Amino acid sequence: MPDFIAHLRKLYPSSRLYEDDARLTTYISDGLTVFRQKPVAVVMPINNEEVIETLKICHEFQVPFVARGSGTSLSGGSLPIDEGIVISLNQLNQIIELDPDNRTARVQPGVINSNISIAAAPHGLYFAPDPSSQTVCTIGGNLAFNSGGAHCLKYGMTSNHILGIKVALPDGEVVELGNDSLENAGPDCVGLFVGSEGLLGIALEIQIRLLAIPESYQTLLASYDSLEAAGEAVSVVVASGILPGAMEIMDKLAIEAAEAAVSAGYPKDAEALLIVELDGESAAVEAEFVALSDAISKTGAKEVRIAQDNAERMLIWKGRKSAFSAVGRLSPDYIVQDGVVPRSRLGEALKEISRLSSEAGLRVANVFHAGDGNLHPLILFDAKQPDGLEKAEALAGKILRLCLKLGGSITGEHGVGVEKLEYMPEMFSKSDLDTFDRLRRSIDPNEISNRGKMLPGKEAPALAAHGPHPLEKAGVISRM
Amino acid sequence: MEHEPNKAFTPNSIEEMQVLVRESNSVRVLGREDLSETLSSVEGLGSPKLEAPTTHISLSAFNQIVEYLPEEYTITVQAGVPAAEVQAALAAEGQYLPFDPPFSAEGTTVGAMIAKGLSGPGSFRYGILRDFILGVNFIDGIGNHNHTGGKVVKNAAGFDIPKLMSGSYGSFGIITEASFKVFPVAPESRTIVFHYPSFQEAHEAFVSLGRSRFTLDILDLDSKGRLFLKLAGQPGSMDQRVEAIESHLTHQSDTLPQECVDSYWPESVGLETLPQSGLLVKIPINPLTIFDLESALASYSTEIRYSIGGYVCWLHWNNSIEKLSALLTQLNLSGQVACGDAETPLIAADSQKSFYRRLKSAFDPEDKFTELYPTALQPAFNE
Repeated sequence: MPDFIAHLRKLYPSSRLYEDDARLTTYISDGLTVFRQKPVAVVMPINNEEVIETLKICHEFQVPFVARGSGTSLSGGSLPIDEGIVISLNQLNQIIELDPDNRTARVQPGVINSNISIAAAPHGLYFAPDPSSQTVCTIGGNLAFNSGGAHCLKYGMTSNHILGIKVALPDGEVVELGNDSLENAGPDCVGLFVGSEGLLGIALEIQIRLLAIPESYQTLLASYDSLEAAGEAVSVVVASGILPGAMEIMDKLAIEAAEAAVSAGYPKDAEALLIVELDGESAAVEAEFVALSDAISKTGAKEVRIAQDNAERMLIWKGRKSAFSAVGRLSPDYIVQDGVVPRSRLGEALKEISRLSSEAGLRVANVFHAGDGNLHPLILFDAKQPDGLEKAEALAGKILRLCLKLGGSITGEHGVGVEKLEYMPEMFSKSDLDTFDRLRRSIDPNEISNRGKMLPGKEAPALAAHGPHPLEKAGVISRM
Repeated sequence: MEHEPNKAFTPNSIEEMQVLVRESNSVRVLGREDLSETLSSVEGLGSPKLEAPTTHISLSAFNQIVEYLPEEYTITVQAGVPAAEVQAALAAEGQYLPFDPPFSAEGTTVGAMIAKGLSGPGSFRYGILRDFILGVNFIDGIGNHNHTGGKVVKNAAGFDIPKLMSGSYGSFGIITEASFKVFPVAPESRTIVFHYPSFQEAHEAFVSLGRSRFTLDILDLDSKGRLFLKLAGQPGSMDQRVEAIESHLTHQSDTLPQECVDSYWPESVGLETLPQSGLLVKIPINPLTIFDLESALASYSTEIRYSIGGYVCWLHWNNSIEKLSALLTQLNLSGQVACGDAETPLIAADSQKSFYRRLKSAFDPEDKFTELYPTALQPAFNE
């Protein structure tokens, strides 16, 4: 390790190579703060050459690394690795080129998601993926975890908006995947790289697709007497044949939290809220809104509000997007899951989550992308209570297994990270996981790129159903 | 199981297909066992040549729609199902494949559709094939039957191998089943054409429309200076939307009669009809590069269409593939043979080669399947 560090010292000035405890502490966890691991060092490259050289050094000394942007991962995806380094990409934050006529931009991985849309706005364009953390999360992280957002049903996830990537593979080789077109000749290697959770290398430059800012929006807020009724309303809207830009549901607990945090003006007596947004050409949206209003009128909504202007629309979304952080007001600690169920089984899933919540004696706030069946149950707990976290994790596990039982997925947009490793063997067979492993090792034979994430079986002989994380059991990581 | 080389097998189960793969040195998939002349021109062409000794596998027994859930916007089908059959099933429920698969009228199967990674003009609105593929089951070169992705519209668990299969030409394995996200068909649509006196003027209008706020399902351009647009939506809005576009372009459009529309768009990808000779080539491009390509092709006798809002060029090429490769290399472009006789489907497309080779070693370590980058040292077809 001393030789390794010596090589890093030759490459980086001390201002961009952190080795002391005080500065390393900043990087010990990401958005999933229950897991912590101190890295050996943190480096902050300012150009591609430094990233590539760093990877070559890691390759030579077989030192694992994790690339990190703003560290907003909710699955522990950017958790440091034992005896490894963090490569912080925040200073690679330039929009290299914005090409309005081609409707594309070339950006560095450290660019903040919403800054792309801000830069593109004068040209009437925007970057569609809109995770709730878009004002702080970086495009590199979005790419690594194939982030979603409220508008995925119609516009797809991050993957659908990445055209090409210049990649530094874990051994330092640089490859170009895709191009600057929506189309490609040959296999869609870009599609594979997006969502690979940092296991296949580091994106140095990213060619993204921009869309025209919709001319018009119609945002509707409907309140219901029960969560199930709101879930059923989604099915009615879907059956009407219109394709909304977004369909989101919040339950009473989430409504209360959002109201307390940002005063979004949500109906306080609602058990559940459904937000439906249409977007597109004004004439088309007007015609769609007629169909949407007709559909909503059949759902038994207690109250229906329409955003009268952009300020009202933004307030509705502010409440929704602040829900995660707002829940912090209700409880000292919470964990959030993002399992997916078939949309038509939303009602069934919510009913079972409610039962599991009562059984565990823990409150669960529900905020979710209803159009995609992507649940976001926020499990409230107090880590200071004995077994508080363990109980919450056990409940989270039951919810994920429920998603699988209903034919869904353990993650819709947060990724597997370290948090859901335990559940991968329940979603994929051993043979499937072996194939994933072969794929990973074909790119990274030494498994130094974000080791211990996504693929189970590398770090613990037996995966417990509940309780401490396998990495924690192995003494590799600790929790708060 | 013993079998003779160069014979087409029609396995009836995954297990039978796994045995065939394990016991063969070289494997190629035939889309349908009872290929008619027309079908073989679509299924076989555009793929690398089949050479002996090769085990040919027909997926004709894998011909079922496994699960269609209209309320979920998802459909799961076996690889041997003709794309047209999928489209018909979806249409019966008022839904469709938004990536608008080309050549479905000619009988292309779902497996071939994914392997070639081709999308039609309608993909301008919501995205190409790779944007709608949710899950893929496939048999790799080791003979394992892998289940990747999922059946729900959103899923971030594991590597996104389904997308990798798009455009892979069966290079990583035999696709047995796939799941897709589908969308509702808008109740009303209209196809309009703008005629311009020059290609340059048409191109300017094309670029302007591409970055405009008009929500078009299709935006195509041809070398004759014609813009082709399709709008879709709820009833009652079409006239107003067409007027807005005409006002934006300060140009009048012609409306294509509805009776012509149904056959027009599917045929447009094949440049009216599939070529009886030469190649139909897909060239990934972007709206501004179109002008360079158009100029470079001016001295050749070709048919050209720019589709998906300027992100793809369909070229009917009657000259040598070497000439096309040189031309594309000069423009920093690449190509893919969609129909026609070619040694390898990729033209001037080497940028992903190193990454591809690594993946190939994982999925197909003994090189049993198609090799997209054959070299002198590495025979393409395991002769």
